Amino acid sequence: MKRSLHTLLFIIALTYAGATRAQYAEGNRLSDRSITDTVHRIDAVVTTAQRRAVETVPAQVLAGQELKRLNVVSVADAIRYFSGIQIKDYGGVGGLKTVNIRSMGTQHVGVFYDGVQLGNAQNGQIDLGRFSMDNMEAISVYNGQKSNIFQSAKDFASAGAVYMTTRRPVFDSTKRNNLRLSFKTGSFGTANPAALWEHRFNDKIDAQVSAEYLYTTGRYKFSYRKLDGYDTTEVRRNGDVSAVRAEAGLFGRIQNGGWRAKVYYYDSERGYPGASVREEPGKFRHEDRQWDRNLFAQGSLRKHFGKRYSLMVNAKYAYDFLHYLSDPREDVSTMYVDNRYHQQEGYLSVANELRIKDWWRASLSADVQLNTLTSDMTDFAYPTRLTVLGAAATAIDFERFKMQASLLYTFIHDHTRYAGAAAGDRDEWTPTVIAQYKPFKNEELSLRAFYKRIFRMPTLNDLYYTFIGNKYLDPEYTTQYNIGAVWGRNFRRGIVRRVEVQADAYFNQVKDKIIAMPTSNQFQWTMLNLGYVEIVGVDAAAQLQWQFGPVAVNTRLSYTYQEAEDRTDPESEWYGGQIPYIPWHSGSVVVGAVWRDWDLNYSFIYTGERYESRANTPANHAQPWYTSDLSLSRNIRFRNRSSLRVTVEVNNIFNQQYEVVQCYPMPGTNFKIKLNWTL
Amino acid sequence: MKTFDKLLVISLLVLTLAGCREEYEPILPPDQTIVTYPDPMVGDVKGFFLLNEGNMGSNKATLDYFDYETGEYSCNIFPQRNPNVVKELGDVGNDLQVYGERLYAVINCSNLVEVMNLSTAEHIGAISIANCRYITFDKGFAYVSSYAGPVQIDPNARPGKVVKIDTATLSIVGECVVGYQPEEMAVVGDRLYVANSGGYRVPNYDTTVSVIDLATFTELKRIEVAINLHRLELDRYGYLWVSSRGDYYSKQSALYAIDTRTDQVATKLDLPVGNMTRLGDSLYVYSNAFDKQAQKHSISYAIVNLVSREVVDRHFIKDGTESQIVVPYGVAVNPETRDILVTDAGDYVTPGKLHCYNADGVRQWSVTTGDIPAHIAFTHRRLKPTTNTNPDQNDTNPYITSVFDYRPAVGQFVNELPKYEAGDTQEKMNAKVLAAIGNNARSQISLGGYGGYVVVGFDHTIPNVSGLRDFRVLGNAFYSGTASPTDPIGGSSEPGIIMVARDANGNGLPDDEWYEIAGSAHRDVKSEAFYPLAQKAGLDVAFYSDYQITYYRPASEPEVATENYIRWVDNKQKEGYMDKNEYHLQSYFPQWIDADSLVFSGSRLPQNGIDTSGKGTNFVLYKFGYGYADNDKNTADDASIDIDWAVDSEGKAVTLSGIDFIKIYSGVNQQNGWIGENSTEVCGVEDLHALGERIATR
Repeated sequence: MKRSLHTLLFIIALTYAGATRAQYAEGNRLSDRSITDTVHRIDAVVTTAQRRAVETVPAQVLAGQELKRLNVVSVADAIRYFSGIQIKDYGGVGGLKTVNIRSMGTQHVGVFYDGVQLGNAQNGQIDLGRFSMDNMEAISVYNGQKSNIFQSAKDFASAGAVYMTTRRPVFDSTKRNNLRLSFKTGSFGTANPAALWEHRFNDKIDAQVSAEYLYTTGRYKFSYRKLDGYDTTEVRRNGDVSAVRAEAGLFGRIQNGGWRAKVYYYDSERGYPGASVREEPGKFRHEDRQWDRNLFAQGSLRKHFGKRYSLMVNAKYAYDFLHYLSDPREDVSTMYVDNRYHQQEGYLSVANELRIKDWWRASLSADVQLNTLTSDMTDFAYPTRLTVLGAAATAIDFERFKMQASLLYTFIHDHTRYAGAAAGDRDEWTPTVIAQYKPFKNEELSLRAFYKRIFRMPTLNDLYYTFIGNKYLDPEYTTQYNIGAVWGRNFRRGIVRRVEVQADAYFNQVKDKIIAMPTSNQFQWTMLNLGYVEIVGVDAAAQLQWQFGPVAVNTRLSYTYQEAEDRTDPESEWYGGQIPYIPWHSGSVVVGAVWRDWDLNYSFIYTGERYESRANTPANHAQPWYTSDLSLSRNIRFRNRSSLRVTVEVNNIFNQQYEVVQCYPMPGTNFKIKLNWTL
Repeated sequence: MKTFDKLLVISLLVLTLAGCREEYEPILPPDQTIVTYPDPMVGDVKGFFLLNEGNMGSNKATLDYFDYETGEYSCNIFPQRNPNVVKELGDVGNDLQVYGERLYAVINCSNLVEVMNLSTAEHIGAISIANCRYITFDKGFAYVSSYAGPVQIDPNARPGKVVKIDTATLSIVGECVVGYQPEEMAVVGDRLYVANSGGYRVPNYDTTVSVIDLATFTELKRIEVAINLHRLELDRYGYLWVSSRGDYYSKQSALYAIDTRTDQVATKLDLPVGNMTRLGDSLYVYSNAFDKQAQKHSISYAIVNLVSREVVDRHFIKDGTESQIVVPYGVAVNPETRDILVTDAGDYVTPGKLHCYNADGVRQWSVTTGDIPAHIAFTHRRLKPTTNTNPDQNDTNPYITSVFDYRPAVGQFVNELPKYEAGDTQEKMNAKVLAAIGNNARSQISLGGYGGYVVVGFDHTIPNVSGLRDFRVLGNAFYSGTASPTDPIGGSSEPGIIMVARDANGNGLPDDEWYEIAGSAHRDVKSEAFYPLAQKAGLDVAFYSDYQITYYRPASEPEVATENYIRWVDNKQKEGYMDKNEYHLQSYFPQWIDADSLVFSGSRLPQNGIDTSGKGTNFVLYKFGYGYADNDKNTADDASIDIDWAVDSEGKAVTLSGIDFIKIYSGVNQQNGWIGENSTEVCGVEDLHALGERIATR
């Protein structure tokens, strides 16, 4: 029977549910980028080109101008340029976009907003399509964990992590106020005004307020064509989005430290266009809609006491609301679904670091988190989850050799409204070891390796979602082994000015993978620990800076090879098949050129052939896709010291018709114009 | 610096070489496999269609077809036959029925009923019905249950409906509101019974069966039964069997019988039901409830006797293979043979399986299907092969265009494949052979026991392309499961030796010199993977290049199974008899031939049939390496031949630029118990170059 629509819509709906939780903290923002804790500030005007401290774990960063030049709407679009990353994209401005690092699964990726993890207790994945680039200063991806020990326990707690770092106020000596107004418009009926105001009260406190509104009809044409067969062009509809984002923050400086406080608010309404499947043309209208409201407040304090001891405290409260409506009065084919979900999260983290010797540090951090989920669904379990994390870590740091080891303890206790509905308590110990060696004193070459074992808890949906949830689930474990090398060199003369190359090879195992599986018919699903995946891969990235007379060119290349094989059941006909949506080959090229006030950027993304099921049959084969995007911008300076940046973008120049997810067509060629006025 | 340039170039090259896309994706041809022995004496049930649901939102509903006459299973036949139907069959196939000369598929999430020609599976029309579920027929009208009744003020209280369709015009002529989320329907006299589930109203499930008066098409009443009703089967005594799915928590699934004379519930059986089908007085039932704590399905099977109205058997799969089914998802029983078909949805996201069991519950064959194989409809029409409009290669026909001679040895399929009718001459039989295997008809002919042959020709010379295989001989070889993966491959390999000839004198007739394709056993019998097994089993494993056999016309034609039926003598001091078996009682001696004996000569292959059961129940016919007809699966590379393998009568390799004629003769002389003699079957020959297929030679 057709609880069908219900359950499936909800699986889809709920993937969005926790998605816009955003948290904020000052945290160890600085150390995000440097293991040596040296202060290395990223300002809007600093290019990433120059030397960075080499990361002990594989890490990739897009920041500053390089990030601005990419034709990207959201954080998800930017992450596509990293190696070892797959983005699942349901298409359009409003379509869900989640990130998967090294094929271990979206729910193994910790997503951090200004250094603190975004909550995802309900469904364990974050929609990166909702994070605006408007205020974004840097995006980094780490495999394993950030190679820093002075951090919250949560930073140790995922298999891979994405760090989003927003702009912090920067004033030149004479200014006390920064004002920036911007407006974007283009294809899909998009209008996107935004404003940012920063104020320096005194040398102790800065403030920042920003707001943004986004509207898009989400409409675009797409085609499906078969050789000697049908050729149809349709319009994607009901993909409209209307969203408001507002943020306000205070940034404080104290002796030997700093603090930060922020409030974030996001409110949106969007339509779901649904899967593009066969239907008699024009007969049915898909009108499913979703409303989200996300609010959080967060504070962070960091202080050094003497030369040896440092303390960091983070605290947060978050509230998320989701309303999903599928109404047969609008769409006769659908089932009536009208559900509301409320999530709350409280979080407190304390991290301590002790510098025992100049070359030896140790840290201890403890986090406590409380999550609640309520809903007006029938037979809802009303789960509450208490999570306690403790991490002990140590690092030794010699000139040519570095090593870190950490041990994470996790305790989880769930409570439900009805006795017996809750899963049992869990406690787990998981280790990580990281090492780096520089074989040559005067050569920028580092060899690195890490081992990490970590798990993800079943989400509240996995365990308690009415009908689907399964409280008997075990956690899903990943084990990672990585070896790699980084090499870089600067050149004073010639065309090439800097080269940086990194390559890593890895082997990952995912055990007890939690998957949704139908039970007695395909409209009755449940969650199961079923699946074992082995991933062997190579990630490579290179960055080259060129100077052709007055033209500075920056080139960024990334390439990924992955064999991600389902090795669940040796008896299965499909044993060893490449897991769904993971291409063997993928990569990207970005070429940016700067000449005076002009910026030209070309970017190319390639995703090789892959399969939509672990049954790697012709029927499940998905063609490669590759898109080329081009943008041109000019910075115009006015006498009153304000400046206007005008950008014109063309995306998917060759109008390729492709899908990232089966039955979710992506847009063809589209345009955008951006105006950015800084006062 | 150069290094960096190189790096850049290499990186770009990798990206470029890693693969480009086709602007237009090809339409996938069906995946065809022979899965069992042919049944030339098939009755009215010629085959069946199977609808695979496909996962919701993936638009992967597919249609498969099985043909009893050839034993061939074709996966996903719809796209090739309907290249212009946008997005193929659609999203989630929920029901499949045959009515008249049409096939109806209810495609739930595409909100339509696809109507196809029964003989061709070609699209006739589609009827748009929101959230349609099941279909049944009566007096020229189709009735489709749908969840999408009129919307009420309370959108949660939306009833379902039954939509009435005139099958002549495929137009909707009426609608009748019923209970919540109606499922299966059954026509009883002039009334239609509808099982209401209420599945959208958890926990307030519907509990009723709606009764509709077909004359007025209005709901007469609702019969209270139990929660969450689903399946309906009417028996021969006026009882309508109804399954309740329970609530998946505390209320168990159960089976009820409504006496349609009183419309009262007459019987309740505490038997969980996932699906059921009726044949005669037996109701075949399975259940696939899910146990979350154990994280697995709890599966049960049963047969309910509809006379005594009780469970008489807890298993209808009797050979111990029941446990190999992960999630039973569809069940059907062939009304003629009583063969039981059970589908396995497996993990729902990869292709499923279909298993066929005979009436005694012993597995006959299994095949891989589409995703979530579910709904089976038997057909009284053979599905016609596609009229292959191959756009390639300047109008050459890649298939057989003429048959010069057909002279089978004696055999159990002789006079049946193709069918001999009184008065048929050699010319008439040649024409029947052409109709069966020419022009991609893909039916089949049997060459009988050792020596029987067919000679075919083409409308062009098949070129010998260096390094590639040149033509494929289609047969009906298939693999059966072997005990261990290291065992030699076996199943039903009945190798025929292939000869080729050039039309050297240009007269268009095969009166030129023949060259034999030297297959693996021609080169070294000991290299055959099955050789040690065959030797151990005491088979005649010699290879002869100068073999001759004579078969003698039987003195009389017995009408029952007979041992020592047809006598044969060879030139290696051996003789024996062919038996007549109980499955094929026609004459085994070609009826259009007057001679009292048949003499065949040529090479002879080692015997390859081994009784692996040791008691005469399971014969495995092992595959030879390569180079023979009807030896490997049609989809395998070794069904194809490289003309470079041809040798002359001395056994020396010859170089031929191309060939015009092909002769195929049965290569093994062996009787294999109840499955009969080793006889090559031929289903066609394909010029690989004309088809644009490139298969590397060995």
